[in-house]
Amino acid sequence: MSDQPIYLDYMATTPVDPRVKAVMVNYLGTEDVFGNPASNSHQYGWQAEEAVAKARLQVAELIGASSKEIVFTSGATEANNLALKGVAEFYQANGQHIITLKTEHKAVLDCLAALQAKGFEVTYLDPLPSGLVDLELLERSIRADTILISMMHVNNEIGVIQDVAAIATIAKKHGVIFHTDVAQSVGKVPLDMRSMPIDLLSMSAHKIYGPKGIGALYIRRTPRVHLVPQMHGGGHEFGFRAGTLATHQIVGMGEAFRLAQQVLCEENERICQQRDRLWQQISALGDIRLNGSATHRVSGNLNVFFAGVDGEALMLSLRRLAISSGSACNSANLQASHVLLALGLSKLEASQSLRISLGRFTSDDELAEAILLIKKEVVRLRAMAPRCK
Amino acid sequence: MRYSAKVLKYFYNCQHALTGPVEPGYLCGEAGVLANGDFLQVFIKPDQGSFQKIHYKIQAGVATMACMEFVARQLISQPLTQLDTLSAEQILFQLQLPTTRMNSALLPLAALGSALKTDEASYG
Repeated sequence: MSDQPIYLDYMATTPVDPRVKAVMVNYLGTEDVFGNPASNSHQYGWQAEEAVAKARLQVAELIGASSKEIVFTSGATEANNLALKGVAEFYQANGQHIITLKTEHKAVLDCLAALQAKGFEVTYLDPLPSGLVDLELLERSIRADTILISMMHVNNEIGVIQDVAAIATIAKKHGVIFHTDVAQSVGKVPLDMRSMPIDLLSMSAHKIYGPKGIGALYIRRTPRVHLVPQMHGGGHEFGFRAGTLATHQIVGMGEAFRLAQQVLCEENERICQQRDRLWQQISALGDIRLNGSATHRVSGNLNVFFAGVDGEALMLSLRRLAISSGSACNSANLQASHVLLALGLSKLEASQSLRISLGRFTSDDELAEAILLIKKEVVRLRAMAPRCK
Repeated sequence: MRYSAKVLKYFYNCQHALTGPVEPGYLCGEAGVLANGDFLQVFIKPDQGSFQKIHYKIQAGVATMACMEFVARQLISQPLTQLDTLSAEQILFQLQLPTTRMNSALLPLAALGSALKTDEASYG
């Protein structure tokens, strides 16, 4: 048995797949392809440029896009910034109203807060208790001055899958640009830009067994979506994002996306079975509940409310497991998850919830051990709980 | 939040936590609000003016659990008056907890104080 805890936090990040790592190491040192892809006067640059082009195509193929629609960034957060701020600044003459969901990732919410400070108006819709958006409410919320809708495909905390194709259709019907953060879904849930009228997609490599520090923004060309670039200094990435390209990270992202396309169906099925087995086994504890839709949920995710058990105490008790609580903690106070609160959970319920996320390298043995540990610690902590008259 | 080794030492070894029913003859006190997720019941058995036994039941976060266990260990076999010498600030200092966790340190003291004011165990 390894001394390392069992990793069940795949929605936080994933380890780089050995096959991805094997590709990346060829783009680092003196014997490798280390040139600047923008150096177009010698072989070093040409080789690097070729590697980037190949990776760009690999990323595009996973989502059914053209490689010319892929702009590499430092990650999904930067892609979100480019998408939201870029669209807002370009289209502000047409209107200054943006619609999103309260359950969005902070990478979107904080961007929109920054835009609000500049005078944009943002409508934060409440999700249904399932975590899904109410499509009728969404459509009713669109105004003449609405220029952008941003809603993530798969929620990072509760794993709920939004019907982004339906949202995109509504947006298109009203001439509104639709952006979706697919960091948690790309490579796990099928996406096809040929059939989904999505305008902008933010992607990340490190959620799909690629390296950290690299992501991409899909920017639709037909019909063309315009953005105001947020980084200047050289006109790289079709003028959308300046900065020397990190070839080793880009090829890593490309390889990760290529692998994802190969294994998507089989891997999803396996992880789903593991997840369902985990849920079935721990359900025997009683007084536990799944947060968010049980049916519209990405394969590896469980977000579980354990009645009568403090989530932080349970998480630390499970020191053999690496999992995540439903609360973000700052140095002063425990803050309840804004996602769980938006679903209608009380602060207490949110504090008694944990996120467990499985992935490519979760073995059946690890899963069996995790099930035993979770059951044991929940029983122990519940036995310690006060009984009141 | 990443807790100090001291907090984890007490959290992982809740020797005085009660997992079964409390026996008759204990004085009982409680503090906190269950709806807030920070609630504890303490059960003490004094003997000749000292804390002969201290047990507790708790539904709370890590910091509160560690504080309760720390206080229990400080007071066991000590005179009942020793409770008056313990302060929340001292507890936080000993466990290297920030002052923003004051409530976690206050709850054990409040629960023990209320237990000393009762005459008999009234919880099963």
